[in-house]
Amino acid sequence: MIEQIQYTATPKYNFSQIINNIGLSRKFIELSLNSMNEIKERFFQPWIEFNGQSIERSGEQEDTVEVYSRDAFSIISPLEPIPDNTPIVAIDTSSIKVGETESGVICAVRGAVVWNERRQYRCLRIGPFPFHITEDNKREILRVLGQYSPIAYSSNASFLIEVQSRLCNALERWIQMMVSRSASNSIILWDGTLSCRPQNDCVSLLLRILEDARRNSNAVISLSKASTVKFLGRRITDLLMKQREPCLLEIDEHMLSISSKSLRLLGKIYVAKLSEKGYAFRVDVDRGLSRDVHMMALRRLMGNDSVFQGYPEALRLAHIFSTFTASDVIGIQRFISRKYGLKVVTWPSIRKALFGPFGTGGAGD
Amino acid sequence: MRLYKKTGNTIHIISFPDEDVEKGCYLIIDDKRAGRSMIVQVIDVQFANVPGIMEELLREPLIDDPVKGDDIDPFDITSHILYVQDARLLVCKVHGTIEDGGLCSDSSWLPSRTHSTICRLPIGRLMDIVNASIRYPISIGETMEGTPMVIDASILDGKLNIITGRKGVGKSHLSKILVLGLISYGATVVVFDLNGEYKNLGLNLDGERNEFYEKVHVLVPGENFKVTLAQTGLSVVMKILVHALNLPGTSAREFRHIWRFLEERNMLSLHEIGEAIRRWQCNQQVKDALFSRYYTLLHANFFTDNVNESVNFEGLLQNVERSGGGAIIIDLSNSSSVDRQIVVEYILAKLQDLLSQWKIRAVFLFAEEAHLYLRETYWDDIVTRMRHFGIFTTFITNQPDTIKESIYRQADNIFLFNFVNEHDLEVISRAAKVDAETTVSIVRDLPPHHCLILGDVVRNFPIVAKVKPLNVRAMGETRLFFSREKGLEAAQSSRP
Ligand SMILES: Nc1ncnc2c1ncn2[C@@H]1O[C@H](COP(=O)(O)OP(=O)(O)O)[C@@H](O)[C@H]1O
Ligand SMILES: [Mg+2]
Repeated sequence: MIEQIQYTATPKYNFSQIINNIGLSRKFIELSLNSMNEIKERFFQPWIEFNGQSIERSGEQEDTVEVYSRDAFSIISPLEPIPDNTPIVAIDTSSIKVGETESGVICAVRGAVVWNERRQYRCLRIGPFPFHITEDNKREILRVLGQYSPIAYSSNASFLIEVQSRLCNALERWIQMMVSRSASNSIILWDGTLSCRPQNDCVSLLLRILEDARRNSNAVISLSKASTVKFLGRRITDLLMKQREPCLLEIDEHMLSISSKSLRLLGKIYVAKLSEKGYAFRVDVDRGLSRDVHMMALRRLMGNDSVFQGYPEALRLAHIFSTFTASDVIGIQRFISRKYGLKVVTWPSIRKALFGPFGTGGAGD
Repeated sequence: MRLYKKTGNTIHIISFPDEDVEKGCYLIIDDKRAGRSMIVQVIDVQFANVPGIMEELLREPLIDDPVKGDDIDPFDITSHILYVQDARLLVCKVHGTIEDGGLCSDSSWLPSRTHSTICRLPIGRLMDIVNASIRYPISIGETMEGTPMVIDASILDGKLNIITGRKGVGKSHLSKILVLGLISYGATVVVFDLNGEYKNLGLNLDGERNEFYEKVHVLVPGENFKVTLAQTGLSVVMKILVHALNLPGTSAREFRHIWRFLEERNMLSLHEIGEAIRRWQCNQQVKDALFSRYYTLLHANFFTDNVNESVNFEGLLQNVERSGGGAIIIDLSNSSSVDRQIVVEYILAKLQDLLSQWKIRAVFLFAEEAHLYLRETYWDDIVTRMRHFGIFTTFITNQPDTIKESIYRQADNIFLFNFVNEHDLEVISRAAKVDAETTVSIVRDLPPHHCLILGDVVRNFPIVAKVKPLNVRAMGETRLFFSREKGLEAAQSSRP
């Protein structure tokens, strides 16, 4: 399975071929198909979340770390870019609820890989995959996801919406794994952090993906928009914005507060400001790599990807290509009602009468 | 298609990419539960305001190159997404309601959004619905659906029509189709042919005589069309002098005396009028005024003293009518502005005479760019008094503002070809018989040879038609500078 990619030819990557040749799609498609085939209801209530937000990875906010000591703050500045044509590969996924049935919710999941080779951006979209999640099939779904979304029995998987984010997570981990295995000498950008809550059995999978990446001389860098580093209740990301030049702040593990230490950190945490004008972000870099490699990876990222407002363009694109717009949602709804012959119900009053307590997934009306 | 919104008599409909609708076509909104259907016409096709489309467009990245992308999309959901994104908004106008099998103009009710079905209403069926049985068909081309577009010649009877549109879009062409259609049913047609382009109506494209050859009579003023003063009569001559040649009142009175004087002595001729003016006892100013008009008349070469050289216009008209119809083409292409007015005065006066004395029944008059020869006072006359006598006019012009708004309002049928100029569009929007929005929106996008027909011939359902080609020679000789040069060259090179 683990193949070295021949990188003499340009372009180097053809993720579409790689990913198509591999099994999870099949597993994922089957899961999607099976769940959808269970729709026996005649009614379907389309749903559009008008704030346009797809659900953020659950619990990312909780991954925010607190620094209790200021002693060892060392700012590395300026951070010099290294333009050496290192390929940048970014991965993101998103999910959205597209409707409700009498027995559950219908959601869709989509992933995107964007890679930048010599300033040429290419993109692969995976999905959308529709899923019908019900009280009856949610355990089966989680079981099939298996290693890609380790079940945390303590977490409130009773919410169907939680299953949706698990599906999204599983797709993301799977794409991350494929990319780690097939890319080489590249910088791989993830969205989010490289930490796990201890009660969550995700560590082994993550460790494996990072290991695969390292074996192919890749560096995994995870950028977090939502999570941050706090010192005395203030965001260090904000403090760094005042720096004129691109710079980096190292956060040593011993600086972290007790509560933060309870997280399993698989990455070394930095706060990075990657462009002169721009925001600072919390950046986690694979702990399995040395500090020098961390620096090199970040500088290569600056040198080979456009960084707009402090955020790498490849990752921005991956986010954009994976998230759902309203017209995507309508298109998916159309697909569902066509393919499964569902009767669309649009009036809220009818909906209440038909659906009772289900379907809102805890998200409220 | 789905009903989206209704305000007043405007209806918005959402249509998807695989649905075949275009500007100008008709739709029927059938509300089975209400037992009624609404007939609407699409007057504009816009992008639907699909939610999220803005984000979709903004997805283009910061870099100049667009991102090349692939999809792994096993369910082919992308095609559904694109389908939604390509949805169109049809802006429609309500044109009536069908209830209990009958048509009424009610547009106030609201068809149901959920159980109405919307589909295209072909023009052919629309005409069936309005019971447009056609007794004297004139085929003018095709509808948008490619079915024959036929109008009823009898509906042009007694009517006032306007054909307008910008240059070169096919106005005269349509006018020729109407002329030929009318004469094929035995009508008498008179054409004021400003560009000499009707004179070959009797020949087909390769120059052979066609079925109309015997029915097309071309009169070229000053050449084969001359009249004697006696044929003309004092009243017509006076009209010419006063209106075409602006002869002042006192001088006109003197002229009348001269005419009577000569007439009593049986000496009425151009030559004698000249002599009489010279000898006439009146002040010099009057004399000068009379002389200048006299020379203009002489110059026009329209009047003759030689009876054998003259055309008996009345007789010609009566002959045409008796022999089963025909067209009299007045070729004005070589006439000066004044000469044109003289000829037109003569013809209109003669027509009125003949009609009022019931010597002929009715005449269809086709007037190209009438503002170039029709005097101010005739316009209203034409749509009122002359129409009453039996002169049914069709005005053809590329300058819509040369026709007064009051004339547009009284027009029974208007054939609108393309206009792009905002001023022209505004003129026709104010003048036309339907709402301004319909007219402007459709006319702005009409391709050449297509026209929007308004009025009685289409039962007041504005209809877009593609005018058919005509196997008739357009011009006499096409006057081209370089082809003449070529001719010379050929002549020179063939010299020994
Ligand atoms: N429906 C038609 N099919 C084919 N040719 C046409 C049609 N209408 C017009 N034409 C041609 O286009 C040219 C311009 O048409 P014409 O009627 O003289 O335009 P207009 O009078 O509007 O200036 C002419 O050569 C005419 O033969
Ligand atoms: Mg013309």
